[in-house]
Amino acid sequence: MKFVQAVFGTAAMVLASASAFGADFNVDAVHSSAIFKVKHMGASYTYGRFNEIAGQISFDPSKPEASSVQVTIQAESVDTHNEMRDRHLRGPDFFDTKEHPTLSFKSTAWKKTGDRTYDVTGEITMRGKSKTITVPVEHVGDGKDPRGRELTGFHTAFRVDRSEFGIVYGLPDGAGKDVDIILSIEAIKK
Amino acid sequence: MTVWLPIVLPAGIAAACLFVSWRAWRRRNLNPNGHWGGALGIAAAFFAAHVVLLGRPSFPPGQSAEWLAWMAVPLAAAGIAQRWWGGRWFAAWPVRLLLSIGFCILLLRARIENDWYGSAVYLWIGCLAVALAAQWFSLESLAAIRPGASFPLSLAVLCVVSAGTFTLAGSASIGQISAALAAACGSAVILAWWAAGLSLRGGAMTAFVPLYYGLVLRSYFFGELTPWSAGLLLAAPFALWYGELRRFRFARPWKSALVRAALIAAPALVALGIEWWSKARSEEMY
Repeated sequence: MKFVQAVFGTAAMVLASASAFGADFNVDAVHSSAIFKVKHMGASYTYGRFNEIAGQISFDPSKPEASSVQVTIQAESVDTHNEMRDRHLRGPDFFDTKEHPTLSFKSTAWKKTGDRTYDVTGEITMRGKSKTITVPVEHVGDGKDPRGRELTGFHTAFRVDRSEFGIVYGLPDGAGKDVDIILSIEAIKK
Repeated sequence: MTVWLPIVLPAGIAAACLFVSWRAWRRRNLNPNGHWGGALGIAAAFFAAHVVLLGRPSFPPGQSAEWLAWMAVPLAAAGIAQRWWGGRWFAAWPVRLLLSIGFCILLLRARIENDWYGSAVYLWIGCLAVALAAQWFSLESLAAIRPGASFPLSLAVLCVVSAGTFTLAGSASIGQISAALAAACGSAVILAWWAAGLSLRGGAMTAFVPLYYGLVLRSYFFGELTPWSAGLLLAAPFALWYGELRRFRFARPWKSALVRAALIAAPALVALGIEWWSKARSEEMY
């Protein structure tokens, strides 16, 4: 009897770990951040963030090429700690949020580059224009929250040329062409 | 030069089109019915300003700014056709109204898809289309009875004040394009001063009215232009009719031109004041 229990127990553990390897997650907006910085007048960096993030991740570390990520950001939620600047950023000179309410990234390919690092290729869409980019992604780790839900986290930092998305206001000196973006995502297993 | 290019290039394009089409070097025997260069000059200047300021618009257009830029092409063609082949059919109310409805739908597609539902769509598009068609008829009629520098001067003044209003309303790129439109009208002012008798009738308003109207709609529906300011900017061209009163009509040409410029500027300046006031009240200038 003990033998049977041991066999079934081991099988259950294997199945559980297997499901942890290939699992689907929802982005946790509360513990995820989208931060950007852009040069102001060539003198300093101005930082901002987007407060509303959503998305899904399907992650399988044993078979990373089968993984996928899709993140959507509400452009209206841009926050640079200055309401007047935020309103300008939402307007036709920058994100044009009434016409293009969201910014998004959707992966098309994952490639393992190290122990917990990947090159993720995908389509980034801003202001209605899409570009294919490859970003370095770190799988930060896995964990459990107090409610027992399984968590996983990813981090990436990359640079985009805003003029490629038709955001040209303030170029070349007012606000820099290159925008550095950090995406730190925590996701909860479905 | 980079700073001035969005002004100098549209002005140069408009001046070249107007000069060649009007054959302004003759300075006499100018056709009072206008020429094809009016529509082409204004539309080409508008498109050039868009390319210089925002880059080449993608085709098919993906956003309202690109739609507006590409609309300059059929509007120029319609203006030229109207001048060359008469175009009575084009000037008919139902045709203008249908074109106005199509114009508003294409320009405001994002609002229709995201924000307006059911009867709100018909109400908005219907009202805006009627207003556009009315403005089309109003300015074409004025262009027909007002040859010379005073009419393009009024339009240039309207576009300059509108440029400031759009910029204060947080849409500087729209303001820059309005300034380019003002530069195009400014070219017509200079040419008309040099060769009096030049006229913007016969097609020029076919291009100017929807392009200017489009800038106001974009700044209101996609930017932060207040409803009062939008209404005043759209109403301003109608104020020119006051200049047709007997006491102004028979005033000296320079006096009459100044009166017309003041008439169109007055509502636009109120709009500028509203936007300046709402911006000045903010404590968070950056």
